[in-house]
Amino acid sequence: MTAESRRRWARVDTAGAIILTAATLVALALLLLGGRSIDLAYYGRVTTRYDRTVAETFVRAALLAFTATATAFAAGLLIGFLVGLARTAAPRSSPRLSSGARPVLRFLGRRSAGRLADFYVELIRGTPLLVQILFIWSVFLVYAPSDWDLGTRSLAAGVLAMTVNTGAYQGEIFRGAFQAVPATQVEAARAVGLTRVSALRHIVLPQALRLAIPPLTNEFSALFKASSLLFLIGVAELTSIGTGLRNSDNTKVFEVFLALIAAYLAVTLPLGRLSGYLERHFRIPGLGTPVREPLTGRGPSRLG
Amino acid sequence: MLAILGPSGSGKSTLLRCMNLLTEPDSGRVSLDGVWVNRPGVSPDWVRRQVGMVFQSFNLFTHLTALENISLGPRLALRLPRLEADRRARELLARVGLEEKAGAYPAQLSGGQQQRVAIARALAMGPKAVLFDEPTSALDPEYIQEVLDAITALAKEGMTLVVVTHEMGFARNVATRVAFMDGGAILELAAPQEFFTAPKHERARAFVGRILH
Repeated sequence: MTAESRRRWARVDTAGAIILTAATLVALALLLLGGRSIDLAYYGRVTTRYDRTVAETFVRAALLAFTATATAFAAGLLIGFLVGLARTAAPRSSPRLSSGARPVLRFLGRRSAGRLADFYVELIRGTPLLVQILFIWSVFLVYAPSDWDLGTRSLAAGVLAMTVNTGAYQGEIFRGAFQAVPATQVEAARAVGLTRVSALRHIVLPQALRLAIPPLTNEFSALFKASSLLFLIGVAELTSIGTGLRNSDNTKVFEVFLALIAAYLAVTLPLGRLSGYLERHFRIPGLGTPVREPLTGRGPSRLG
Repeated sequence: MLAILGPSGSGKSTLLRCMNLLTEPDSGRVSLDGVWVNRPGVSPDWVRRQVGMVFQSFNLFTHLTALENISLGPRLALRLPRLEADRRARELLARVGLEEKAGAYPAQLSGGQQQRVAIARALAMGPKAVLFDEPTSALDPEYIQEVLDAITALAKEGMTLVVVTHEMGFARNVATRVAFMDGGAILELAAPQEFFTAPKHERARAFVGRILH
């Protein structure tokens, strides 16, 4: 392709992007405002005046959704790490790398831990999250200590279900990351006298964690969106408050859902940026292809 | 320096890996300084700290700089303080002619430079012997000589080296002994002059005949 034709196509591309954006905006406006308009005063009312508690409830719900997600995600990191480790086979090239005459028992232990982890991951990934939530919730309703009130039971069950769920998915993320580190790296580490644990901590982990950054942020985002399912077991998170607000005033459907969508996007959009930033920050010089700068704010204009 | 020669698949690398217990020998004794080391009760880690190894494909730690690659072993396995480990790593880098590459990551170095860093890494543990597993086989031809020079320098210092190699000129000129392997066994152990001019074993004769013509 010549430079001339590349420039021509670049212009066509730009024009296409502008047309697409404009068309989307017009379509959205028609969809939202056809026959009526967004009542912007509604937001002013709920944040300043008589029903100020509405906005407060909404913010509290957003915080609850975020906290529940963060808690489950953090616990899931630990589970995922261990599951990933258990599901990663001993280095392929030299299975007896660690050996000495290690007792047979330990080998069996490794095997059964791996089997258990396999079972857990397959079970969780093969069933709907909603079923997991409802199941654990039902168990909590019947078997939780009697001094727990309904709200506590629901929240605890919800967070537990999310933890168990994300643990399995993160286990797969960690497994992939561990396996992507060549066995020869471990071998080289063992060859300079590092113990198995040292090799894992100083050689495998730093490389595996770099690889795990994008899928892990993606998993956080997915989990945050999935937290909306807790609405179905009566946890006062975002979606439940949102639908509640709509029920209290049926004329504000668009206003309420606009706020709801914005609240989810306020978490998920920056996460993509965060992932990109972390990737660039921890990139190993000279290795792999550079991560593309984010679409907006790129180019020399920002530097000049 | 002992050079191990032989056709592909003859067990050269396996023998080498048995020497630092990266592969556990099924039978036979591995001795280090007269100590029988491949027996229960001897930690393979303890053995590997005293026997350096250089791999065919370098296997530098990709996320660490050249300096860190060298100082990691001493810091973690020998518990040297960071400053001391770094100082020694710089000396070793200078010894392989790469002092200005201390802060470079492996992916920023040429194959020859990477292999020289790997040699420095093996030396950093102050080993009693260094094993080389086809150290130049993965290199572009233009980088082979610099790596062979680095190994030759070590041999001249009288360091114990075991080198699996296909570089016959190098083996002939630098090695003090040559072992010829085929079919998983050492068929001939001789001085290089003797081996290259008058190999005794029939398969060694065929091997030498093939490479010299």
